[in-house]
Amino acid sequence: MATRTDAPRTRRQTVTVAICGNPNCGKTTIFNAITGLRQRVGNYPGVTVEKTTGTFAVAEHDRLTFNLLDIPGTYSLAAYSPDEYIAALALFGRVEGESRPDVVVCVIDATNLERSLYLAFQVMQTGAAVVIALNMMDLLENSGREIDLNQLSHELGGVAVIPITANRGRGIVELKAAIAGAVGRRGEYPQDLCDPRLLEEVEALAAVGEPSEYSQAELIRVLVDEHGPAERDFLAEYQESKREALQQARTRLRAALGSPAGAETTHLTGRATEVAGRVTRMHGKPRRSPTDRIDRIILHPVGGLIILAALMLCMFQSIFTWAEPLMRVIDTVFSSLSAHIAPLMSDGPFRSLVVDGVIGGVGSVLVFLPQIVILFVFIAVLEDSGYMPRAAFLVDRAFGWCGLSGKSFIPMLSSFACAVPGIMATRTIEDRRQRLLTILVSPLMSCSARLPVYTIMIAAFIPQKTVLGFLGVQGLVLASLYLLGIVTAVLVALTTKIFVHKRRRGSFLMEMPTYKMPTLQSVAIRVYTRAKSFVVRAGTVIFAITIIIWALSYYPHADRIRDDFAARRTQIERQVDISSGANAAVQKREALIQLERDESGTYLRDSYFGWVGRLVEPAFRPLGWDWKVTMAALASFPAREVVIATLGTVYNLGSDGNAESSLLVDKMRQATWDDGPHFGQPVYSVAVALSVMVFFALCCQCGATLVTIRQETNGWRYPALVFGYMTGLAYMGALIVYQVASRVLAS
Amino acid sequence: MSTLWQNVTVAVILMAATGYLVWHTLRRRRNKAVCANCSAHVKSRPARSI
Repeated sequence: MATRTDAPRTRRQTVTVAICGNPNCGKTTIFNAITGLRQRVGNYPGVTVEKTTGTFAVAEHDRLTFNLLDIPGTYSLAAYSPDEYIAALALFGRVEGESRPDVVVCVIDATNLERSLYLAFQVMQTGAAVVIALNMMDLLENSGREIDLNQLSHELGGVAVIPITANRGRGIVELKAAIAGAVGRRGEYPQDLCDPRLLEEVEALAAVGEPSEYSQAELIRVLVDEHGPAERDFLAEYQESKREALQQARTRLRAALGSPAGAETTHLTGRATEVAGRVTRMHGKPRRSPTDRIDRIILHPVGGLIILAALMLCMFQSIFTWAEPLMRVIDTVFSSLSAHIAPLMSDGPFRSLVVDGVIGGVGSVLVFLPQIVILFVFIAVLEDSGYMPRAAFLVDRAFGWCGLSGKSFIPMLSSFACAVPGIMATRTIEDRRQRLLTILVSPLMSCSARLPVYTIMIAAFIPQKTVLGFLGVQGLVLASLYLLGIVTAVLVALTTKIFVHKRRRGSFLMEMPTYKMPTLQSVAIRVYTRAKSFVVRAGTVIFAITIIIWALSYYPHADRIRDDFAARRTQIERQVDISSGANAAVQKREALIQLERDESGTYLRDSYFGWVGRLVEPAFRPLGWDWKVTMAALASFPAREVVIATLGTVYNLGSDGNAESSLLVDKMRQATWDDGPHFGQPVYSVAVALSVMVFFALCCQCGATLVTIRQETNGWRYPALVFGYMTGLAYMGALIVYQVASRVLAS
Repeated sequence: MSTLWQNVTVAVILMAATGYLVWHTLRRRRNKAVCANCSAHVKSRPARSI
């Protein structure tokens, strides 16, 4: 039996089971149903780029533990993109930490049998014990067709064929039993799954030179996939004799069959068509599916784009409208926390750290949790319903002329949530240059970390007006910032296409999955995961950075400033005591409040943070920024959210503690220049807010993104390029916007 | 709490925060999504670059 341990029979034995299939065949849903593991259920191709494993047990097989490995979705083992190659390597047992699968569950979309059988045939060539999970049986019945399961099993050499409707949990128990039943059985599959000439050449290649550790199925890939990763690895591993044998085998195959890849495709497609034709029956007229009917509207060249634009606008409007009450609640919680804690502690640095640093800084970031949740509810619903690939299809035309394809659009769409998974999703792109280009422009998409920066600036400085009677200006500005990222990405791609490499665009082939009603569980899990990650980040990295920023903004806290202000306070009290009149007490209170405000401002200006800020301020003054904004932007280079925490801390430290409102928005509205030619004037205006937002929209202030680019490109060259060009663009963009907007608004 | 003790407490917290950030930046990331599938972990295959 093909089990992993030689332990006594009484011990539990582990069986490795791999689950593979075409993208969107419901593989991940089956994986979840079998293992009960929480995992994201996506709809568009390439979502399973990461390895996921789980375990399960089967009744009546209690000595066996089944280890289930979810393999990236692929249409064929002829791998060209990195995630397709990983799928092939996992099936060949070549991935470190995973043994060769004892059983392979091949998930087949019952509504698309012919295409799905292609991969099933290639999996059978590996010699693994195969179980066929025939999914989406409900959709097959609705389309007026049926599949003869016994006949299909017979055609495939007697493998178990289990009908399943994964999203309703039907057939899962039977599938688990079939997996257990298949353990130890090596497949006796039809002999004609591979062209006999190809098999001859594979055997000849294996026999030449040193003994090969490559299996027959692997050697097929080496021979057939010219210039593919399998060939590259083979050439790197073996010496001259095998390399020559490979070239000779290819030459003979070309003479006999034409292109080896073409011959394999023709052979397997022909077999799949034969088998599908023999096992599929029609009853009644073929019916148009609901997906087809919806797609007539959604994919309309004009109507589809209008619907896409409307959906996006609706999303951005909702972020403001729905989040507002919840944000107020969170802010009130932090304000009252601050008000309760402050009197309990004696005045000094520790109290300032807790009240101004921790509560003021981290609290300012956590207030944005409702907006993050709303954004991810939208993204989860759009992805789970199957709309996202349609959006990619609609904008493919817009991407084609600039050197990017619709395939680039999927990583870019992911980057709206976070650039890290977006950059990792570029593994689905076969073309190396197109992949690099996508990696270069993906961080320009406005990720969720930019949202707090946008919304605080918009809420504070963009008026709550409507245009055309129903469109909010605030929502429009937010949508424009997201659009700015896309337009800049297109321009960068176009520039690269013109000056760096001129290539014809590649073809864009993407499967449109059937529309599904997003399940509450799936949406809830994804939103919860994102919200948790946001809160954890606020509670760890941002918390630690906030403490350091607080310390830099608090110290040295010189005694001379304290003594100076103590003397001035005594003087005011004396003067007011001497003067008489009804308003003396009021005047005294106002003078003391102003003095306290001046004292806080002086401490802040005198701090290390203030000293560095005033040193670098001249470089950012053309952008309309004072030293506090400058330092907040610079401090946020490790992570964008830090800008909010920094402004929260700085304005808390710089305030008198008697501010009418604890909201950061209000403090920013009240902020004034504390020196220079604009002394006493408000720091922020619409032009400054626009300048800050444009800077954050275009700048690469994310350490995690740069580390991911390094991992994906095997070096620091591309992270350095991304950081350099985006920082340059951000500065220039913010400068132009500020200079233009301040002149236009002044006139 | 006297100002001295407050300063001492703040110094300890500050060191802990700095230590955490250094650890967070320099730690060897065991990111399953990248690590498990990346080319460096494919058996007997040279590391691939894109």
